[in-house]
Amino acid sequence: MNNSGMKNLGIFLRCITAAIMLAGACSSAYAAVAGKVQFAIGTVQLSSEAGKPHQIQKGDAVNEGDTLSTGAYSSAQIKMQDGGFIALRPDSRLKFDKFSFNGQQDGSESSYFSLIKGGFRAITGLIGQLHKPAYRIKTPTATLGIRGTDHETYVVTANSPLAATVPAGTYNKVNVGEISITTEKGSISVLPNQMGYAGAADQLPQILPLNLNIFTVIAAPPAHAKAVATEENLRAVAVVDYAMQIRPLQLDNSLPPDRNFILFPISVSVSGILTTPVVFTF
Amino acid sequence: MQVTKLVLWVCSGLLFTLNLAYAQEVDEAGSAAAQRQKSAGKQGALYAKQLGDAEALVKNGKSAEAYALLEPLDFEHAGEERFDYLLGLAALDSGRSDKATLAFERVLAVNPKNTAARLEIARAYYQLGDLLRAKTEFEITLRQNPPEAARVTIQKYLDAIAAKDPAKSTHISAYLEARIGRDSNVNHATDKTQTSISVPPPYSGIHTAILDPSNIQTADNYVGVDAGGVVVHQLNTLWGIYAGVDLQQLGYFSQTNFNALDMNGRTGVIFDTGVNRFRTGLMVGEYTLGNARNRGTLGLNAEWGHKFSPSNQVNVFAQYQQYRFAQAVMELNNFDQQVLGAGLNHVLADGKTSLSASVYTGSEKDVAQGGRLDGAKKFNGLRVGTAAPYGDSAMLLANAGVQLGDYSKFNTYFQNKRSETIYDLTLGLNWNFSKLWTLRPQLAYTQSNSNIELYKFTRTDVSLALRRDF
Repeated sequence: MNNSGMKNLGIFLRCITAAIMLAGACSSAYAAVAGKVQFAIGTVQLSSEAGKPHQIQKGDAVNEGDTLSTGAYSSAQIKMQDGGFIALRPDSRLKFDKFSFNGQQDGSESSYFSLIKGGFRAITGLIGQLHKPAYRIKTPTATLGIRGTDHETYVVTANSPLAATVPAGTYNKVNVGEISITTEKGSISVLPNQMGYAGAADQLPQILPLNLNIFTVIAAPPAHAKAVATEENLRAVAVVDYAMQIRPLQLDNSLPPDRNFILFPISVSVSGILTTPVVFTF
Repeated sequence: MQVTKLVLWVCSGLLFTLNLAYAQEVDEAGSAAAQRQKSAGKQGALYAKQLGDAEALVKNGKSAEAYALLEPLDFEHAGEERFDYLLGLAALDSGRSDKATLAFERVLAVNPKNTAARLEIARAYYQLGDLLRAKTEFEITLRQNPPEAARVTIQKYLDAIAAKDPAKSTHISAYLEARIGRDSNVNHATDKTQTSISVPPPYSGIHTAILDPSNIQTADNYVGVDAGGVVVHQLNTLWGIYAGVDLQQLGYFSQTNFNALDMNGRTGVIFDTGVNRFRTGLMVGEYTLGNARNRGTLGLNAEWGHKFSPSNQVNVFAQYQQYRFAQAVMELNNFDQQVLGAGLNHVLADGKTSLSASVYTGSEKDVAQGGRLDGAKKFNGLRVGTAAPYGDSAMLLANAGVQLGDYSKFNTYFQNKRSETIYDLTLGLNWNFSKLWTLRPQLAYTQSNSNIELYKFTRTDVSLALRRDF
């Protein structure tokens, strides 16, 4: 092989190596994507482990290790790679600690979060369906595990505005399914429409009466919104209204009335002479 | 010179080529932009059509189809108020309340004044069983001065939420109803005055049986009073216990032999997850006819209901009941009844019209020594019904059924195995003229086609009932 041939071979090998490295980099970058921003309103910033915080846009990727922060009156929804959803509430900070999902529920999948402040709602996807320990949320006072599909978690910090009305700590409300809250002292289960609370890592979690002020989703509209409610844009009735009013089918209604009153004697006439009555009943 | 000329020619050629290339690039760029614009226009038109189609599907009650159409567009169009509102409606009406709340949350984040989305998210919270949050959103919507029809609906939700108040774990409901009517066949009897029967010795042969007037179809007017109530005590969010009683008293103007008092009690447990509801319990009843105790009943029932979506529900039911007659002459007719059935309920797009159907099968085992003249009975039945709105405060009701019954023994008197088909039809109008008062005119028709003359009859009952709920 002459010099030119050697040179071409060298270029070819370098290209192959670069292509392999690029493919590897792309592959690892894909694996690290936890989800994508589906919706963001207001100030929603993403900070990666390496980069500076920046305002996110719809369609942006949220990677393993990234932290999302929302300002006041701001919120975001992330569509997760496993089909789940995260709805980040105003004035919150959530870190996507670890996310691994190859499309299979083979035990290698995991979805770990750290909620530093504020709150979020999670509708879980495939991760955690089969392998419950694969889904975990850490807060400053507790660790939460799922046994269900839809829950909301809120961390009230000492300097949070809510701290004026409720004790600091981790609050969890379950919409569907079940959540476990664990601290150093033990673990409790929270069922739908219950609120679990962990005040500190060295306190036993407990169930408290539901306080919706902690889990406020949407602020009430201003008074001048009255003009919005018109016949044209507001459904007076919906299918779900009927479901609200429906009574379970009664067994009695499933059967027709059965009341034969053949219970008085029938006289039998033989050659014009009435004989002993025969009784047919029911 | 030659070299200079050659250089000039080459430069001119290069410039020309570059110019051409540039012109081509510009042309291509312009063409690509036009192509993109055209493509965007096409996509925009397609998207507008998809939104229009989805809206029409939701309005026509095909919410699941609307959701299937919109869901793939969710990521791209989330954040657009109209898209999110339609997606929320489709999700809510097709039973995906959790997804509905996410969509409505976006609508309200973009436009907190969107009262329609606020009403829908309240409905979604109610479906999810998040009653406190539903109450908050319904109350906010109510303050937005909604149209009267929506106000009535919202108030119904608020009343239902108040009734489920977790702080109030025991709920009592009751009713009192007065009826007046005319029954064309108070004794469910044949209109014939005589029938042929086969008589055993010493009068062996087919003879004419003259029917007692009490066994011949007789019409009369009546007044009735019904009353009942049920107490449900929630043990926790899933389990509850219940007890209820119903009394129906019927008094005829002249045929007092057929005055009846039907008393039924029930008690049991309920397990309700919102999507699945299981109920099982004990039933007991006493039936008095013509001022004498006629029979007592005792039984068990179980029912499982499943909500596929707000517009589609199914249930499966089973019942076992013992019928025991009081008078010695009647004891021969004692029997045990078993019924197994399944039903479904579908609500149309208007959210008010419902269609229901059920099928059942059962048997009556005669248990007395010697048994009934006709022996055991096997029966199968089908029932269909509808309830549709009539104006703002009335519902039209229609129910129809057919039951086929076959008995096991050869009846020596009638030389036949009894077999019959019973049809029934009920038409009524429930007029809720105030929140707790209902006036119900009703027409009920029953026809029994039997292979034994004695058991053939038709009956028409026209009544007017006034009901007060408590």
